Amino acid sequence: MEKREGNIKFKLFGTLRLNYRPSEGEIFIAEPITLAQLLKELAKKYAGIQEKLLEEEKLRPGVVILVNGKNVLHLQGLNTEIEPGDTVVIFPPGAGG
Amino acid sequence: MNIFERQKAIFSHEDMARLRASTVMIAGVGGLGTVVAEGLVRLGIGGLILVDDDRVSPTDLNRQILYTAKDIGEFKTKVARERLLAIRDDVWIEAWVQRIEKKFDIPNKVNGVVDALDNWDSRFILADMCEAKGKFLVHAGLSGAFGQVASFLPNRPPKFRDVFAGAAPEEPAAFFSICAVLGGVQAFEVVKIICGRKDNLVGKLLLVDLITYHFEVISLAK
Repeated sequence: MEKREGNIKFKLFGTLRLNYRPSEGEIFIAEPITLAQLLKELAKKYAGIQEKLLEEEKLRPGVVILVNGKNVLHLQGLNTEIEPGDTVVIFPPGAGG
Repeated sequence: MNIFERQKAIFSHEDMARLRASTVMIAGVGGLGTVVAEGLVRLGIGGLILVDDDRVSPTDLNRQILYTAKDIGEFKTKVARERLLAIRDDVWIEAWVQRIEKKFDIPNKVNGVVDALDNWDSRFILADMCEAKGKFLVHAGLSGAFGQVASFLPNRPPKFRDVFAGAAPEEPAAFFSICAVLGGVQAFEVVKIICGRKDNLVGKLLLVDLITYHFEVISLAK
């Protein structure tokens, strides 16, 4: 049977970097997890990050999350499956010009 | 003496000829747009269309490099045009006092478009128009000391909407250095696309953090 445990990479950008340092890292997972589960894991490292990213169990407007370079709103949202080897980028894109 | 003497080692004769033959539309002539406009004029662009419906206000002067205190109350695009022509009088510049909304039309003569806007509604409209009219788009946005730059080509995934779905309005802090860095990158990115250079930001996202000087390029999925 294929071994599926391993690390996933996460990277925080934009104004999230004001509050959460170090702003990137790796999390070991024994099997694929959902994005919602990953955000719970991140909350163990970064207090309050779930509240910053979620609103009534949905992604808060203004938050963009890319899994391997693809916006999760074009995948399965918070149910998007994250596998070992995946890279998750979380950032509120700057609106100003 | 040719004003482009000092950039001959970076841009070939053919590059300069391509720039000279190109016209770029800059949507938004604020913190980013003023830097991009001045940059493109100094780099050797042939023509610019400046689009912005706003007037210069005192709070613009911390970062919007084409304006001075005597310009307060004037339309930005008109002031910007005069200032740019004072740098180079052989560039063709139109100043449009307009807002980017659905009835707006990108002129056919434009080779590409710079997104230097300050709101996502107009950005999504502009990106759709670029796709429909076959124009390249160089985007940047900022929030405080942070920001992003990415470029999009028509008929080539990912589309702007794919990447930035979920982006929401904000009225962020803005200051000179972040505008200069992102706008400077945007100007060079326009040149790279016009000159056909491969090391550009098409299919990529440059994320900038000026607090820690962290710059990272993320590959976007197609």
